[in-house]
Amino acid sequence: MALMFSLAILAYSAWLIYGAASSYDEGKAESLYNLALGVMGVLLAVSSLTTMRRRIQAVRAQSIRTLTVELCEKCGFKSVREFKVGDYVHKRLGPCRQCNGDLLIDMIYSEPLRREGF
Amino acid sequence: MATFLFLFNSWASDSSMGTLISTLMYLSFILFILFGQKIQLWTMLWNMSGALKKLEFMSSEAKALTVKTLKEIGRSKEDLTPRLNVLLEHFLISPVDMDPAGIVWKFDHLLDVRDSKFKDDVRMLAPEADEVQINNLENLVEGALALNTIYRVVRHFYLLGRKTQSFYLILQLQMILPLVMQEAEALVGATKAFALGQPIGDGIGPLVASKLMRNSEKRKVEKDIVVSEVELEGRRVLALKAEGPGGNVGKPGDAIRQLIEERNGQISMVLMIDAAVKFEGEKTGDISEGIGAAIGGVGTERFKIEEEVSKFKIPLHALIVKESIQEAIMPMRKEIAEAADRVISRIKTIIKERTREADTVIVAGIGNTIGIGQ
Repeated sequence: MALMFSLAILAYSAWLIYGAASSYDEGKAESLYNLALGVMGVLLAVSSLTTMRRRIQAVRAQSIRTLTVELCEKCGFKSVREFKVGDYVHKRLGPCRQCNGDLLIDMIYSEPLRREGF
Repeated sequence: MATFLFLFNSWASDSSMGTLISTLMYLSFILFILFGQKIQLWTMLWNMSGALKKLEFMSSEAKALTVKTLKEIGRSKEDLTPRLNVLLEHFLISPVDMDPAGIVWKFDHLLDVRDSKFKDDVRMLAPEADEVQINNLENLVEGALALNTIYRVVRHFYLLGRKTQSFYLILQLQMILPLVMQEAEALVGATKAFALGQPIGDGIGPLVASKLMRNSEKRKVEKDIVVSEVELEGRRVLALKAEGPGGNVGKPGDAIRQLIEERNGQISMVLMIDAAVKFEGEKTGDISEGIGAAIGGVGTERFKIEEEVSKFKIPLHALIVKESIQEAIMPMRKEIAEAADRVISRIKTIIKERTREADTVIVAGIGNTIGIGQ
């Protein structure tokens, strides 16, 4: 909703600037006033869109995923997967898929979810 | 507001209403001179009511998550909300400090009583939960309690400010509101981590101790602390941490005292590892070295450690891993988890430089051990 409103203001301001430029050629007095209003509108719309973008980025930065790193102490086999309830650091997970050694959880950490766009 | 003024101005220019606009401009100027502070007060109250609604939402979300987790783990069929509401308004009255002699032990006793009462209450809410789950649930309820307290305090000052129309009361709250909101958002993250049993940033101390004691025999010492004897650079290292993987901080002060007294003070160094608040601009996961007892809380544990090391003249060193207050209670970030190996290298350097071979050193990993075993 807010995005549509800002875009509408931006479009209206662009139209005002275009109108100002056309009426300047015709020698009308209000062209300067319309130009000032148009520039002000563009600035307001851009400021509003930038604020919105910052807010979205802040919300995205808060989205995190937690990963579990499994490690075999014998052969050094390492795998990373999503965290599951019941996981904890140094939990023994059973035999390693590669060498039959002891597989355990070496690390659990979170990192921000990265998404493309906007 | 500015956008509406812009629209109005653009309409006015078309309908030749210059005189009306000038009059309105003068009127608004006079209005701002006479009622500027009132308008500012209303704006601040309007902003704060938004923040308050957000806090209310966070608090109720945390409460809902707590009830859901308690039901899932505790397999209780009754309505837990009324009993949880009582817990969420739990308080502790600190001992009188007019005559401060002996206050530490009074405080310590009250904290013990609070801890055991809280644990018993959580056990009643989730009768089927095991000890690890009880610890996690206790942390979860504590997180929900903290959020509820923040909400109640902010609401109190907001309503008081609105009632008295006191500009300065509202101004004070508005000044600290961004920090309060940051902490509340971090607490929401923390409650999720506690519900799932994930390690949090504060767990870096226990993580280091856990890495040191991996594959060696452990024994339980004073209140919820495990200790293990390992060899490091030719020295005997007594690594200790709170017993995990449930959410627990234990009482490291009592444990360190017990270990020192068991050896009649024959300890060459006590080295404490903890998470500490970084300054803005500093990198998360950086390590700093210093002197003193690196431990948070009300101060009772720090007091015990300082008393004991002073009694036997044992050097007390500290290594801290830098992180923000938010990062300390949110799920552990990669930069913090990766700092553990660098901390172990620093421990090796310190004990090599400051102690002799065959000496005994205590390495205490301080912090919440949720999601970290031993």
